[in-house]
Amino acid sequence: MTRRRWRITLLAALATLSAVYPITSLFVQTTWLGDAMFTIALVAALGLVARGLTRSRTLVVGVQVLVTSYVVLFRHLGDTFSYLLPTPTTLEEANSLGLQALETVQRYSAPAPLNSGVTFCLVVAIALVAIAVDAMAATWRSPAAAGLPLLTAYLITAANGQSALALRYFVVPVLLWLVMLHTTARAQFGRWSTANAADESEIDEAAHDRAALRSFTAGALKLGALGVVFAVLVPAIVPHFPPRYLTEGLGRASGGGGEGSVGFNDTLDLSRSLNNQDPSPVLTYTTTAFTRAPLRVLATSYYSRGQWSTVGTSGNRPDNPAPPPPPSQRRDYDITVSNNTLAAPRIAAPYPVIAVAMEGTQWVIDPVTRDVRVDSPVSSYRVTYADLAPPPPQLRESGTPDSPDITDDDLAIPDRSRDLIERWAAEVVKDADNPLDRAIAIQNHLRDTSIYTYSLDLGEPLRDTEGRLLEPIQNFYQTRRGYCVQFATAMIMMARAQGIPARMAIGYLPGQPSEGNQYVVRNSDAHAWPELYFQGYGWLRFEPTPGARSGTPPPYAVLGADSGSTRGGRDVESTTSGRGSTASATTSTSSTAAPVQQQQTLIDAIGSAFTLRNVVTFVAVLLGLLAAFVMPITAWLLRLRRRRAAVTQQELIEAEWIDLTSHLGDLGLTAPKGVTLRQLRERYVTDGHLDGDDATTMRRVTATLEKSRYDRPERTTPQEAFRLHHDIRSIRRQIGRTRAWQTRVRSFFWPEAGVSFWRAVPDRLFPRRR
Amino acid sequence: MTTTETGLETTAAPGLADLDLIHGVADRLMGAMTSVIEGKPDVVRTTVTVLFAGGHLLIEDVPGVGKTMLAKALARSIDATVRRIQFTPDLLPSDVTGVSIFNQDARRFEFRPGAIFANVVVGDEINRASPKTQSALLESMEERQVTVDGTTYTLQAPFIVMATQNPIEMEGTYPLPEAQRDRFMARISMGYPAPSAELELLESHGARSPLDDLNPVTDAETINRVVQAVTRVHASPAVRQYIVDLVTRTRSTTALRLGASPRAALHLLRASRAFAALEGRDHVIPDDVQVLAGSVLAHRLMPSSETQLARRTTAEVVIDLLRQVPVPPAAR
Repeated sequence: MTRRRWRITLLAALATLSAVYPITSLFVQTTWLGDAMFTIALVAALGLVARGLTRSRTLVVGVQVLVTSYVVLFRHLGDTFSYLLPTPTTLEEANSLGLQALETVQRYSAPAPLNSGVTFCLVVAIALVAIAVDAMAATWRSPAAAGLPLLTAYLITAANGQSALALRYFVVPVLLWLVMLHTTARAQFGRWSTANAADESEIDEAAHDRAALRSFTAGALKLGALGVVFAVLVPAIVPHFPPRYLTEGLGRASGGGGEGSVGFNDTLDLSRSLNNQDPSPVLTYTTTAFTRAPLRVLATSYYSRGQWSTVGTSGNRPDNPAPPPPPSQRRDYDITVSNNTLAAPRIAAPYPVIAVAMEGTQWVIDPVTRDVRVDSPVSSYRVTYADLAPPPPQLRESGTPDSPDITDDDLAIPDRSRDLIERWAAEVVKDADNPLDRAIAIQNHLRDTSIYTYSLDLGEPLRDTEGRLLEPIQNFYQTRRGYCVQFATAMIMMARAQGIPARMAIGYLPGQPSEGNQYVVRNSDAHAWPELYFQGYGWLRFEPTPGARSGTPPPYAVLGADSGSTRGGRDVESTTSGRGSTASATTSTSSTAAPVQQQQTLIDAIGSAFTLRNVVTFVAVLLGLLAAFVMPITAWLLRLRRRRAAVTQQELIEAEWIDLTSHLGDLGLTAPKGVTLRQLRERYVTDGHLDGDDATTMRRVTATLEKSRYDRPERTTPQEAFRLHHDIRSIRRQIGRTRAWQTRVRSFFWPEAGVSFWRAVPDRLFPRRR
Repeated sequence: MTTTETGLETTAAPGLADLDLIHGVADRLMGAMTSVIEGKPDVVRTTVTVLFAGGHLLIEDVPGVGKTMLAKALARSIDATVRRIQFTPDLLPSDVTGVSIFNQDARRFEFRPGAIFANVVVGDEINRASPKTQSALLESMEERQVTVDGTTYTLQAPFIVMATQNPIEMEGTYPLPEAQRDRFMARISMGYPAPSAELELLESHGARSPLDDLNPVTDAETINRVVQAVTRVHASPAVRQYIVDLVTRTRSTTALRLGASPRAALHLLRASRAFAALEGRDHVIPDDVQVLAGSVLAHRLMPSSETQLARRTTAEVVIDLLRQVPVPPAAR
């Protein structure tokens, strides 16, 4: 027995550790793990010693709680102790640590940085889980119940993590839990068998017990296997959930490509990419340029129903890329990318690409957008791109755009918002008389932080007077808040309204410097910006997004840059470096909240609602509801079956009566075995507090039933049967009203009809052999 | 269902029981009897039920509570032949059934009918007669005919025997064996009257017997029709099932050494029909069966030794059984 205790304690500790281990994915550092392991070991050791010393279970748990909390407090807040005892200051400090943890959790999404507050709270939580698991599994010897705290620990991660949890995080605690169950069950079964053997002292008995144990184990194995199959199958069957829930991880959408890769899907649902707060770099690169340009992944002109999309491009498309500007108008730079995890067919590179060098796959430059497509993912490549840096005076005189590059899509404005956009653009542009000045006016208007607020949280989507969701641009116009996608869209639409072809570019900000001369681009660097077409210069980048997570406007898009060098040299960099440093400084802190693009169409809104947290909540709520309604549903189905089986009017009346008696039985008015209908009626009238009309109704019901049962069957008229139905319903209501609400709730959720059905299930499935 | 058990010509066409007829006769009969037997409506009701069901009645109680008065009251209320037999140890079977004697003038045997040849036979203190005489009576009760010297004489209908019996064991009595008690449809006991009824009884019975004022309220022919009408009362399968369940349970319970016979089941059904008709219903409900089960079954059952040790009567056992046996079809 002692050995078994020792084993179950160890198993409980291991199960706890494995259940809390996934929390490592929630925080950047894993230094808390040592503390956690120490705490779990402490709890286990305390339990083992205390159980050896006392038989009082409460005492064991009490010792565990007291000693563990002392040790945890001492380790984390030891400097506030005086004479080895906690002081009021300790409590204050603990409180402030808790607040710090709370703030961290609120400000950062996973993975969050670790600080002393978070560590403290984690250790406290883990200690609680460890004590609960140990108490249930070892002290009370019911490891089945220990599954609950284990599940709680597991849910901490599942509910807070942004990325998917790997299968192993689930399987390991479950396996340990099963082993725990098995160990205890064996121990208990062993006790029975020895008792039996002592009583009977027959060899046959012992053999029989072994056989029984084997069949018990086999049954448990079957059930366990069934459970795992269900855990894999159910999420696959339930519609709209990612079908590879367990095997590949939740929240990994189909557009995301393979394991560990990052990409944009066809609907350019940028929010989902921005949502992915994976800290691992998307790519790292070195560049020869002074001013680092954003890395574009793709561009699109096609805007429909509130969202940008790469599909459905219309108009005539040139077969070959337009030739790059002559070398005299540009300066070429190289960018060398390594550790690229972007999913095929996309790669990221600054615009416009002049030359590509990569190995191992085919690549092509899209003739319209000039983004590079590859056949399979490449880890590293080199791209030569041009810094167009056109001088503003020339740009001002570039003239009307007229090029095969431009399609109708580049000037399309959604009809619903056309009036608004044209009015808005006219307001903003005022008297600017050339495309560049207009574009700069629009850009600067949008960058004005006194008018617009950069926010990852868009708030509730607004509705128009008819209750329809507003077109995203209208919504943006009303709320004046948004992030890169909203600002870029607004600028594109206003530019189009002013006759400047414009399109959406999506990619990454230049990222942060890393070791050496390398730069790292992460998912939080995802960005969207507009490109406007200028005759003779092609598509030029603008930067209407204000504040934190934004790029720097290119030199030609800054007013007053006319006089300076047009070569993007030092003076330009001095302008940008200041901005750039603030941008990068704020990026790290603001990259926490998940931007959810709520201005999209309904279908997209639903799609973006399938975040891990929502799905887990939904599944939990669904399962909870299902569990809560199992009994009422069973009772209802049984009732339905009885009604269906009733062929004659007599049987139907009988079925109605059975419903009533079983319902009244649930309400506490039971029907004793040998009572006649009349005696039962009197009981119902008295105990159900029926009086006046209700008593008459009750008498009518029993009279009809009596007639149907004992008189000649043809005597009962259909009218009577029909009235019986209504009378029974009114009696149910009336008697229900006289009961306490607890009774009514219980009678709804725990009807005897359903309960007895489920109680009988084991007997039906496994008929007793003896 | 029509039957020949009652010895009646069953000319009943399929149809409904004549409830008005039954009700009218029952009201008059019970009214008349209640004027004599005061404060005992249940006893009167059961008596009329047994009469209508075509059965015989065993009245068992201590001396002086009105057993004979009840029998006489019923006899007087019907305009029919009534005989009273006072059973004594020296009563001979031929006194009951009749005897063939040789007529010297006619030079042949003539049958002189015994006391049993009447519509209503009141057998007083039946347990004082010798078993031989008792069995003569009981055989004629069951068969409704008497065979003397090879000639069979049919008894008239209606035919009801109301026997009284004293339960207190006394010298020189021959208690009816259980097998013979089975012939009686029901056993009732009078019980002492309520104090108020007893007070009234002292007043009214002071001068003369109230029986003297009792006039017949119906006749034999009407009773025949009533008995026939009662057989047409509907007994649904559920009720029949209930009776069978009850009877079966008396045979399986450990509280009883001897359960109820199939005849008991038959009697219970017939009595229930009559009772339902008295209640103004033309169909039997389980309540009828429950009301009568004690009277109809209790005297046929033999308690097991445990029941005897626990000083429980068979009537109490029947009440227990009624609580245990589910009423069909509620608990199918």
